[in-house]
Amino acid sequence: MSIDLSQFHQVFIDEAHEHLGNMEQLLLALDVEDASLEDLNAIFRAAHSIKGGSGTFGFSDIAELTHALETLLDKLRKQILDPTDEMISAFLECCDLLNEMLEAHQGGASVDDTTTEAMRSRLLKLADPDLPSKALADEPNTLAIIPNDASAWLIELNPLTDLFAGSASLEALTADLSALGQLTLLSQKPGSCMSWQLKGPNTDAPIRDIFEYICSDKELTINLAETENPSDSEEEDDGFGFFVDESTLPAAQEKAQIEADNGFGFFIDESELPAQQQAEREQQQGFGFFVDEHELPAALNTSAPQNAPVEQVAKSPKVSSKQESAKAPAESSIRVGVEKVDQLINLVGELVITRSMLAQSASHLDPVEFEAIHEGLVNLERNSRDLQEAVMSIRMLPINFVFGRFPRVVRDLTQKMNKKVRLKLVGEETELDKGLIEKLADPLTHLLRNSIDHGIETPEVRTAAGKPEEGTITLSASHQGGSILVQITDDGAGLNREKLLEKAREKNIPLSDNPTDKEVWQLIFAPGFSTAKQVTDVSGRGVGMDVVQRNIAEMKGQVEIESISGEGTTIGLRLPLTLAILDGMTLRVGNEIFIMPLTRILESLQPVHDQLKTVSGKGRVVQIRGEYLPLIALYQILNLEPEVTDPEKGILVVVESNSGKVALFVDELIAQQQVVIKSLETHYRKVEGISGATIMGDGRVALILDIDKLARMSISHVSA
Amino acid sequence: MIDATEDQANQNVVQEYLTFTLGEEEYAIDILKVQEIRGYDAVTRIANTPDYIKGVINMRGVIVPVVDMRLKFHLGNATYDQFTVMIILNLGQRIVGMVVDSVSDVIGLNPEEIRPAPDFGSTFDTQYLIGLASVGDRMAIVVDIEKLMTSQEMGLIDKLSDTAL
Repeated sequence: MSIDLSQFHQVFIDEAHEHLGNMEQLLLALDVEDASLEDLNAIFRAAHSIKGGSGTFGFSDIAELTHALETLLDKLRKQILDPTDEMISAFLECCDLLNEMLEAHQGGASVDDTTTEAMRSRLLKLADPDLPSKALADEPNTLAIIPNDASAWLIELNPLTDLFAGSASLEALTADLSALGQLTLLSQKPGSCMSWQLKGPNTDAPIRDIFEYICSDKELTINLAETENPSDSEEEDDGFGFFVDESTLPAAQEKAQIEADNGFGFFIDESELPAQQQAEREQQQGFGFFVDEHELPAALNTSAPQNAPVEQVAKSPKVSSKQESAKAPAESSIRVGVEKVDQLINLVGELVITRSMLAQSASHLDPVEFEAIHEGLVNLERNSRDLQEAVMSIRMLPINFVFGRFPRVVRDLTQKMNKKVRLKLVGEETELDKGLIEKLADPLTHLLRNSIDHGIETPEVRTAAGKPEEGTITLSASHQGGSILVQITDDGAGLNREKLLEKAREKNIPLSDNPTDKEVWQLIFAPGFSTAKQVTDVSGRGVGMDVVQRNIAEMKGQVEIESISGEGTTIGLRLPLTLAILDGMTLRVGNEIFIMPLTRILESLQPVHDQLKTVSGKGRVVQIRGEYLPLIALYQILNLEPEVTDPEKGILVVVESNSGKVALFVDELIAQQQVVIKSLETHYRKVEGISGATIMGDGRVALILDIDKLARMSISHVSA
Repeated sequence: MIDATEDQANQNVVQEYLTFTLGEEEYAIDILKVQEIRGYDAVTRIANTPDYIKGVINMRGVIVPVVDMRLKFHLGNATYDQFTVMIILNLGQRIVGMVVDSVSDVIGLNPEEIRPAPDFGSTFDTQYLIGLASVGDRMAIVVDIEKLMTSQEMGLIDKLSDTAL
């Protein structure tokens, strides 16, 4: 293997992982009873892409395994076989194995041959239950072009248009045909009307496949040379022959030929597709085809791809790339290091600030005299805003990237534990920072396992409790203020207060005399704490929840638990949106400017005297439409010198905090604006009541208020 | 006069130090820790912090805390005008701004020229002092600024245990 290739290994491995993930998702979504052809095709394409790539990079074990996978998938796709649960399980396990193999290759190691071999024969056995697995294992590899002298075919081509405007395609066609067997040219007339005699193939299918790309069925007559059946319908009025882009023709022919030869035909019967559509596809994929030519060899002789000679490489079928490009011709992506994106984000942030400063300086200039400058600044603003949004969006990914793996986890676990669980995903499109997404995967898996193992009861228990036999776990994600809330809700047994307390006493965990539910639930985060009677391989060892909490704390998030005995448990992960833009409201207290997350603001008002009440001489409340809300004076909590100390002269902002609604008293609301969140902790430390900072248009730093913390601080402030 | 210790004598490399004044005293810090020197402006106050933490500034997109050394060590008058200077320090991963009375000079010091500091007579805890050096007819206190700024005493860095709930 050349050094040149090895530098692409990582790309291949990344891509393969992606394909596998995709495949897994499709497999899980697949309805065994009524599998959609489109899904099967998509799975097949994924398998094929991996096969192609692994062949190129010399990962012959992967290529062999995917080849077997492909063989079975192909039969499903062509509806020769019907998918069964057994097959789906085999596919999923095969995905796992492939993942392992990829990782092994990444580490320079190799995977146990017997495992792969076992999987391979299992797949092949499924593909053809009639044949002994051993024989089958070798079968797909002996697909090289072996002419046999079975029958002679008479091929007549009567195209409506001149197909061979250039000679190259004719030559290629002839070459392809001769590859099938002994070819004799019988006649050639102008306008591409030709006839050949071909000795070799057993059926006319491979020949038809070759011509499939050149002309419609109507223009072609293929008969056994012995029998002279007239063709049933020679001409058809609407038989518009379609042109293949000259350049794609040879490749298309090769593809068709190989397809026919090695038996993984690719297209759904072409009669199902209108000719025009095919023609379009041809045109669309014409370019990608050739590019891929160099990237995807293999397939023909997958057992020894390293040795694959150049000719074979050139002949390899471009099955997947063809279909993919036909489906989504514009889809393309590049892989870039995250640090490059971060650098870009920082630079754009700088640009935006610089622009604001410029705008501020220019605001003193006479608008008439310096019209051009003002105009330029307006343009600059628009462009830099667009740029900023575009750059920010690079880092954001839908949370589906983590959620996507869970249907599989649930499926595996429920099977293992004989439970019935339906997984509901909500808000999969919620976007959050890529870094967070990656870190979320582990804690969420833990929580999900816990829910299935401890939360959801067995079907019998559930039926007895009058619940539906099938448990439901809902995984949801949503933006809430400046944070993202990811929740796992199950309708299982809920946490058992008594059991937890008992366990806590056993472990000598100090607790107050009459702990609240919240305190009790917190127990499950204690290291080594598990109420599971039995340690299973799923959970019960008591590691997990403490790890979850630590992971979430590392992301500066919080874990919240709500549980009702007999009705279920909700575990919420509240994560900050680092690097995200915050929709904020700028407000002023004294000389200081603060930012408040806009989404938390319910309303703002200037209270009248009657609305303000004091409670036992300490805390103040404000009455708003029958509700009494605690009044928090920002200047008191943050030790500021306000302009006004009388709430009637200032503004009350009613916000939703996680300890309920509160009214924040500030001097003035200034404007609504989007701000880039910057961390205070990079060079400083956490500040109570402040969730971050941002840089305002004038270059000054403004602090972003942490509503929840402020509400809590005010409680301690008052009670102190 | 106290003799230079042996290990200091082994090094003859001249290191450059930035000297600044706080009140009557002159201090020297390793110039490699200094990122830049800039005027004092636009500091955003942070609530509920000690008075010597002036707040944070925007240093080309980076939020940097500012410490007024005059307040921290009760030296000189903490007045802020157009002559007030800030030394921006780059301490490994962290950037910190430090307000001083004035920046005086860059001096080259041979390790031998730095004498161990006596146990008393300085506002700074001796653990942050590298020693004393004479600059002409004056004396400069050589400070291990990184150790000082990252110490608990300055309160610029979260204690590790703070993150636990």
